[in-house]
Amino acid sequence: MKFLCDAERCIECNACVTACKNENEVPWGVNRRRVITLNDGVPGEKSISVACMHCTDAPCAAVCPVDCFYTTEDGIVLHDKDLCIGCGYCFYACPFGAPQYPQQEAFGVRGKMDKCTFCAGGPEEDNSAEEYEQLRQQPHRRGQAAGLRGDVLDEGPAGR
Amino acid sequence: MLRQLGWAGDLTGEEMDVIREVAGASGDGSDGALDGVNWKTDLSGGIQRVAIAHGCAPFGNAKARCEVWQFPDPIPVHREPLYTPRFDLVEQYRTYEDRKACWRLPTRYDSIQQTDHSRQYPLVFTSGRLTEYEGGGEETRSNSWLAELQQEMFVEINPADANDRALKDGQWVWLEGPEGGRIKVRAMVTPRVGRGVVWTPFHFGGWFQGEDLLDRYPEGTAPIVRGEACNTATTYGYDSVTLMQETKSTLCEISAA
Repeated sequence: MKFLCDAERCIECNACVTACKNENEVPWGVNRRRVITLNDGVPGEKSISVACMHCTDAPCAAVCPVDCFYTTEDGIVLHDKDLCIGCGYCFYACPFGAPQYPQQEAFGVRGKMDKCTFCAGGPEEDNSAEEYEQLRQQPHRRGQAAGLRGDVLDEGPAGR
Repeated sequence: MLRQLGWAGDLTGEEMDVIREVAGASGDGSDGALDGVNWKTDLSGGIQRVAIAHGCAPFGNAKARCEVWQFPDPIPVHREPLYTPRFDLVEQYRTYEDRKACWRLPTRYDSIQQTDHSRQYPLVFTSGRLTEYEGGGEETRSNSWLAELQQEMFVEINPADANDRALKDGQWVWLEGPEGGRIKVRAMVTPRVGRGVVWTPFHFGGWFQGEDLLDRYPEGTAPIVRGEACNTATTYGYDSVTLMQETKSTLCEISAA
């Protein structure tokens, strides 16, 4: 499952960013979803909403030194926050800048990495792979939060 | 069109006279010119009446016309704003005369417009909305998710104008209006505004002329984001009928802080 955002329709209203922050209650400074605008103010201006792209061959998972990433059978890339050491490697590897960290302290202490979980919701956000397997018997928890779906074209803030 | 539909005969004599007059004014009076009159230009209203009588609704890009006898300008005319960058147009498009009592208050127009401020304050200054904030901004600037998206008051300035004043994107600047109000804001150098125009959002408040007034707020009531209020630097001017303030078209000058 992937998010697709229609760049022709996106007007950079940031409603998706606000909805995501509201739903997931992440702290100031952590933005799972951002709107990027290119050519601001000139003809050909385009905006697009970007969060984790849940890559099939995720670079974040490939570089993680503690191997805390796992991919669900839907293709959602999740990670175990108990294992995460906040090294920041996944941020360097990600071409979209999806991993976010709550702290910015000396010696690179970043805190637990946080990123879009495709609204897999609830405890699945920072579970281990085994716990995810147990809990996924509750399919209603998935995708319910902000009303975003990845298996249809996400029509930017104007749709849905 | 009515002729094509076969309804032209339903028009009364008076209506046809008016239509002929309208056609005569714009055309050469031949039958072909009559066809150039449509329901929007037919002053008698006959074409509309006939169409509606036959169950059809005339539609299209019409222009509403109204003449309000009680207004100072019964039909709207252009008048230059009190603080205008084009002082040469003031003679031709003069504003109203000063009023001794406009709803019991003395209100100035002409006496302000007679002074040319455009040399000292060459930039047109207008204000508008941001998507993230609403109105005066106290409520939405107290919301952490929205406040994070627009954290500072800023002024949008064209790259050419910024270059003329040696300003860089993100720099602190003073924006000063002709009546002396000054605000300290960040410069956003962007092609979003044209040359000669600057734009600020109007949602901010809590700063006054460069000073953050956080300590004036009662404990726990200060919004998360505070900034200069743009109307500190806008100017006097009131609509001739509604007394609405003319804050959307005024002048300013911007300089590095």
